[in-house]
Amino acid sequence: MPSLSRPILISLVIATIALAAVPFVSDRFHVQLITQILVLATFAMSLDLLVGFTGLVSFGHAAFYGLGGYSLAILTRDAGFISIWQTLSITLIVCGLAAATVGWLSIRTSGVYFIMITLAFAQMIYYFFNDARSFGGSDGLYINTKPQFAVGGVMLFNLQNRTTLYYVVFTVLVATAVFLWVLLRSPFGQVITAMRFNEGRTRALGFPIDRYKLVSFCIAGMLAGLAGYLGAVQFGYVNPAHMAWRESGRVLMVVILGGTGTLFGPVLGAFVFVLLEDLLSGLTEHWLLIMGAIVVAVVLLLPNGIAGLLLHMTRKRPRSESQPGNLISKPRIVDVAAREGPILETENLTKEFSGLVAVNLASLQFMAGKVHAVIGPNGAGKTTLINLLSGELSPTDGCIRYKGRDITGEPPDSISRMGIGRSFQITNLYSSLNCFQNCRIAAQSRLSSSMRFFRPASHLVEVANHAHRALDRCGLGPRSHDLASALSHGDRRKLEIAMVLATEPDLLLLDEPLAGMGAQESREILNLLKVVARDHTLMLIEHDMDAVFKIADTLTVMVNGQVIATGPVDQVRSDRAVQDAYLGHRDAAE
Amino acid sequence: MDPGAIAIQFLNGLQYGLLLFLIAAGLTLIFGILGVINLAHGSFYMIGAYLAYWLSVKTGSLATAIALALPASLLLGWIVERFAISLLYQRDHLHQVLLTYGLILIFNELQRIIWGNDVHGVPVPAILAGVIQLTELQSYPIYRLFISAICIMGAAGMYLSIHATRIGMMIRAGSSSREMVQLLGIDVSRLFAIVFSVGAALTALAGMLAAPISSVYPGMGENILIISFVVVVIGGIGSIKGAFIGSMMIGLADTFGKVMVPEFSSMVVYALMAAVLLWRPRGLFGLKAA
Repeated sequence: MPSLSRPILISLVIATIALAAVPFVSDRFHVQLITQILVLATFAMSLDLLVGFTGLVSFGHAAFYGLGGYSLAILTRDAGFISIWQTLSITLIVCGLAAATVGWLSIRTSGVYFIMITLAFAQMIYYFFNDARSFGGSDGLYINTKPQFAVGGVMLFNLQNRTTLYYVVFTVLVATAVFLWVLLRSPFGQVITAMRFNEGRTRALGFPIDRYKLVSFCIAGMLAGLAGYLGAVQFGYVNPAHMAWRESGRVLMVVILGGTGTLFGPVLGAFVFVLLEDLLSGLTEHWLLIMGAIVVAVVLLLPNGIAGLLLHMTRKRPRSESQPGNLISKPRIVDVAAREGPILETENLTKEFSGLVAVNLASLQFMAGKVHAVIGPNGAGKTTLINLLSGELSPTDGCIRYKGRDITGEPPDSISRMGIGRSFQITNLYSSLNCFQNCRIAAQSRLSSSMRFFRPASHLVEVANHAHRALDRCGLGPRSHDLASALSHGDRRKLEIAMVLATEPDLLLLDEPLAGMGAQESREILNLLKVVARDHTLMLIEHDMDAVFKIADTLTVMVNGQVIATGPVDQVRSDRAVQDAYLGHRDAAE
Repeated sequence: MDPGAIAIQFLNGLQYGLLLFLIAAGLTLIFGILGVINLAHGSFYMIGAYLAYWLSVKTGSLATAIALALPASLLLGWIVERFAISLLYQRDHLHQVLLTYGLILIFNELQRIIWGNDVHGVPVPAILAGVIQLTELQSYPIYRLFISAICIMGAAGMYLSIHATRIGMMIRAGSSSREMVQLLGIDVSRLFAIVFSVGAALTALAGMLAAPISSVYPGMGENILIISFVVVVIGGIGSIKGAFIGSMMIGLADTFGKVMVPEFSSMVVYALMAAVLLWRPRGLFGLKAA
């Protein structure tokens, strides 16, 4: 989330005070109109948690808004509940359960398919209420008794009164904004934001991303239900049309118009949208024509919405985070000698891609505390092997044992948490975060649970220390606050390794750590790897033979998916078959 | 249900499915080749239906109306692609959704300004007005068979042009790898314009054919749009074969759903789509990431 500049912060404070004063200075019509806008703003904010922060474009969000209203209507009609406490808590539970069900089924898909499956579920819910006689069918339901707020049997206020309702709605909007602000700074918020930038990397760092998506989806669904509850109170009725896809589209419009990925954007969007509707519909009967033209113009001219424009106009340098004081980079004390035997083993590991056998019956042993290099020409199956070991791919056949335990078919995040960290051949960083933040996300994956919602992630001292230690080991200490996208290629490769180290692995899988580097940078990384190798087991794929011979204890040669030799470096080096098949060609070519 | 009634429902389902295919084929190609989510696709269906109504009132013949409306909708598709959609290539799906939503608002309002809010009927041409007697009690309207026949011809034409022409080859290449086609130096802007306008014209044709059986009313584009998206997603984005199978599944499921579980009939197609996506998260024939 971009940190806000002073002019925007001041405007937000002024706007909040102005909103608090509305009932004193405004007529009845406008109080009602603004109440309506604030409800829409809360609804839009809940959607922005998905679209702007989690990266899930839901086209069915109106279903939860509608469910919130229906749940209130049904509770007051059938159960006779009139207390805010009862109706609201049950409403939130209903919406949370519905979101959990829809979310659990939908997050398996991604991209356009996610957009469409959320639409499908919303349409199912819409048609259910539209066709259900007992819930009023297409006419909907009226809410005859507005909920009351009572403490200890004393009725303090009810929501019949317009001013009271206004202040309740206003408070809910502010509370929602504060809640989301806190949430997004928490470890949980850091992970969902990281996930939006780079899903694969986040999973490889050990975060079970589906669970994060699901929690985010549930929170968004409950907040939408809260907005729907308030909307139903305001208008005194619910209608299935509130859940239809047009409403989902409308709120999506509000979020995009206002600006995704900011908390004040959806509020701005709600104001602009409703006021425009109000203004234009007074001008002409065919106001939707103008509205359509405005929507088209906004997409073409303001792709980041109004908030994006404001942020752009008042841009400032990102604030650097204060450095934690205790930065003693003590090496990990690992008694390498005590760990004997293989830390990782594969047996007849095979991967077929529709007919092509990328890895064929590979049986390998990776000894604890050793450096094991895998070499082979392009297309030999080396990266496929790493992807199998790290869980990105599941093998067609064979098994993988880590520390004696069968881990075949485990997902990448749980493999990472067991202590196998991997780097990527093509640099795979969070380019819009700085080096420290990249490592912090990585280190955070080692917390027993990152599902912490309230404390800011920057307060986790232990995590910050791990991140700094990893950066220091890789010589990136001085660059902590530089954006990953601003680093040189060599430094990005170091950051790749630093991120893996920050997850505190026992075994590192490094996919061509020296790829694309100059001689000087290569030497630096090689020295870094030597230091890392003192207290870690390393498996690396590399094309640079000199480097491999300098660092590796064990060597495996792969050609066309087959392991043609594996063993101590010197032995494999002098192996005739290897020389013929691979090294020989290489020498001849050079 | 007796066999006659089942046969009739089956024919209805096929006819509806074939009509959906005309719409969904364009939508899936626009998705797959242009990479654009076109919410305004349904508007062409509505425009086709209204043109058929308006021109058949003016000329007195549905056939003449279709003959005039088809090139008009091809032109309209071309204009929309050049002046709106082409600005969206390489943009986020979110922006495409938003812009084409804006186009829906514009088209709907234009329709209201030009043709008003009334529901209109379009008479079935006299030559196709009869019924075929299946059994003593059951009969089937010739016009529906005619629709199916036209749609099958459309599908066959599409199949031939995709498999036997140069443009078709580019379309096949484009739907499996859009980037590669661009890198190969094929004039993609022309290819994109052709795919979009043909897709729009086919959808408009579906609207024209459906006008006599479904009547012509405001908002008819949106209902068909959502169903067509369901078809495309079931089949897998970019796959014509998937669109065909998806159309048939939805056509039959919707028709039989209305007969067998009338109280939940509207939910049936969405439940089917959810089930397919849970089984295959990228649709039946979808390969590439969307």
